[in-house]
Amino acid sequence: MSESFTDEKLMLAYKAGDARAFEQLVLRHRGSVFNFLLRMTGQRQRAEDLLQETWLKVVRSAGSWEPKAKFTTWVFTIARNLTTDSMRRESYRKAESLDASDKDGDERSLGERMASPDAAPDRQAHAAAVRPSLERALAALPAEQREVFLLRECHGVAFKEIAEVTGVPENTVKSRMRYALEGLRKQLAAMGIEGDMAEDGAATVAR
Amino acid sequence: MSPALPDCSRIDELLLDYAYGELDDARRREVEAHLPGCPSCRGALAQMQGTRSLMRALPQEPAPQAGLESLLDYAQKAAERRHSPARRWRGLLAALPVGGLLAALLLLVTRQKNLEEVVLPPPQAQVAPSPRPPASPAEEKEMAEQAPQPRAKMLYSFNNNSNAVDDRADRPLPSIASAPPAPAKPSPLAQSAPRPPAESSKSAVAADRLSAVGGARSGGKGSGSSLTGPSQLGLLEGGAADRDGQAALGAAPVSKADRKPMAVAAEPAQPAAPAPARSAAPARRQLAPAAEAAEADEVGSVAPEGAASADKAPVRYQVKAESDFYAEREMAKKKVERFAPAAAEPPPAPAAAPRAEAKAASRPSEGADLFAARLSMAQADARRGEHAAAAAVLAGLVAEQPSHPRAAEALLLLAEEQARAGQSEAAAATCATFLNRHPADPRASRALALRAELLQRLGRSDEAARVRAEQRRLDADSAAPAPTPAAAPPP
Repeated sequence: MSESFTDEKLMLAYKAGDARAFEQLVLRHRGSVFNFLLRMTGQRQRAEDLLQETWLKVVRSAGSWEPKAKFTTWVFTIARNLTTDSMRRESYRKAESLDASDKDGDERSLGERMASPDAAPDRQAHAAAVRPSLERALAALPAEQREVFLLRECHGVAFKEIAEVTGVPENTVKSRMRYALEGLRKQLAAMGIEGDMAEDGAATVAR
Repeated sequence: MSPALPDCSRIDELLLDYAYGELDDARRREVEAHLPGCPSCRGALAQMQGTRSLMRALPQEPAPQAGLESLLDYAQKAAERRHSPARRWRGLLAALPVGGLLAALLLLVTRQKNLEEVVLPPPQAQVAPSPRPPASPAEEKEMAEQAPQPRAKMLYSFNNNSNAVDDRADRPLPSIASAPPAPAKPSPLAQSAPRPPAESSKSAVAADRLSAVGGARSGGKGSGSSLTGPSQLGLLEGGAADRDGQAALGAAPVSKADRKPMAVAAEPAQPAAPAPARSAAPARRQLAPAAEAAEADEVGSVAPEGAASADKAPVRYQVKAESDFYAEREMAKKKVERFAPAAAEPPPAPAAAPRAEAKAASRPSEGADLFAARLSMAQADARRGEHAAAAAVLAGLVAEQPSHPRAAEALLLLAEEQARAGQSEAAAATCATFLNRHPADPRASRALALRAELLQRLGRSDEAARVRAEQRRLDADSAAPAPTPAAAPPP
């Protein structure tokens, strides 16, 4: 299965019975979906569960899949909806929980949890030191801003597609994105991390 | 050149798209023409870009390996199912009216034969010297409990002959003619095809009609391979995976219990255990079909011969079983180790114990104690705060092996995890079960206390008071004899 095939072609090939095409899709996008889930839930185990659920759903829906939208848009929609459901259940469960002080068993902040201790030693000590703060700032965003930010910034999903994923108008997506960027900036500034610390900060324009 | 105010507000609207490269050329040029003369828009853009470049230091984490293989297996099977071999099969029969009829007849005979073959205990199973010490009562009980469960996966093993036929659609009659009368000698086609791709889906078609046969087969086959296997490890492994696909004795509970505990435990939990396992279970259970189907396929390619012909098939199966065994154990171990530090908020001591236990379970000699391994997986879940998940694992464990020496421990832990997961009703019921089954257990007092607390929470104060009274009586009684530490697991 050639790498040059678009996701949509691969998905059609899988729909037609080519399991290798599916494997290719998984190779391309599983990591990305996982990172999205990880930062949306803030819990590794839950992210892993949702990751599996997402892809199983892709498999199950393959038979009726039509290339109406981009494949990634579709996958992120599935992942995002599963996350929303899961978070709703979770908040319900927490409210019900017998032992409120027991919390979730893991009382470290999200940033601490996310900064995986077994990550490869980073040459940029600065980046490594800052990372937990970034995670914390991100985790502090409201979910609807965080998802927009993650999809656009980390996963390259265009605003129009984010609108499809989240089911809100594109303008709403964009204003959430601006709030997200502004919120992150303030959070980071409060932690003493300013935008101009980045070497390529102000001048760069992403293309 | 100097920016008028309306211009600014228009540009400001475009800045976000500009920053993300989503503007068409015309509007991009418009923005770029505006920026040099407008410090305020430049500032707004710089802020955005500054934040973005900071956030770029967020690491992308690699996706876990866990679940990948079963996902791909599942995807493959689903693709095969969509391309309905059943339809091809019917087409084949229709295309050959006479031959088709004959084939159908022969298949019927084969099935009949297979059934007989399996229902009677295979001779090797009784004669072969077993290097293994006699099964403990617990193990025997476990086998007895699990063998007769009709499981869809067992059916996968059924249709080997017909698959072979189907795969060679161009010459169906000869292979049918050679295969069916002697199911003890497996069709060479079935043997040579490394992994008949149509197998699972095909058998799924037959599943409804043949479930009874599958159940019977599973019993015979399971005992056959578990007693004739040349090495103890292989035999435990083969027997277990063969028998019920949940590998009550094999690698799966350790590996899968960690990765996706529910795939192993949630299913058997349904009938006996009161645990609804709400939040995590449904998600995890999704994996069950994939994992089971994957195993079923492996088993299926050899299983029918396993009981009757001890020549090639068992050897092949064994190799597969062992390699999987180590691979999955290894994975489980890593996983446990990875989570252990995260869970070590409370002192490292309690975390270290189950970890050591899981390690011990990964040594072949102690591989049989999957109960302990799964128990420690549940404890790991519990430490991570995945109480519903832990409860589901425990519920499965308790339902499957109610008479295991550590069943009481698991049962009480189940009650506690259910309580933590907010499943008060179920937890209270589990406490009652515990008290019924293990009235003399030193932890009975704890179970009573928990039950009282839960009943209180459920608004059943009267019952709670009665239970508390009972607990006081019990405490008073046991105060004189040896006081027992809270959770000392019996050896």
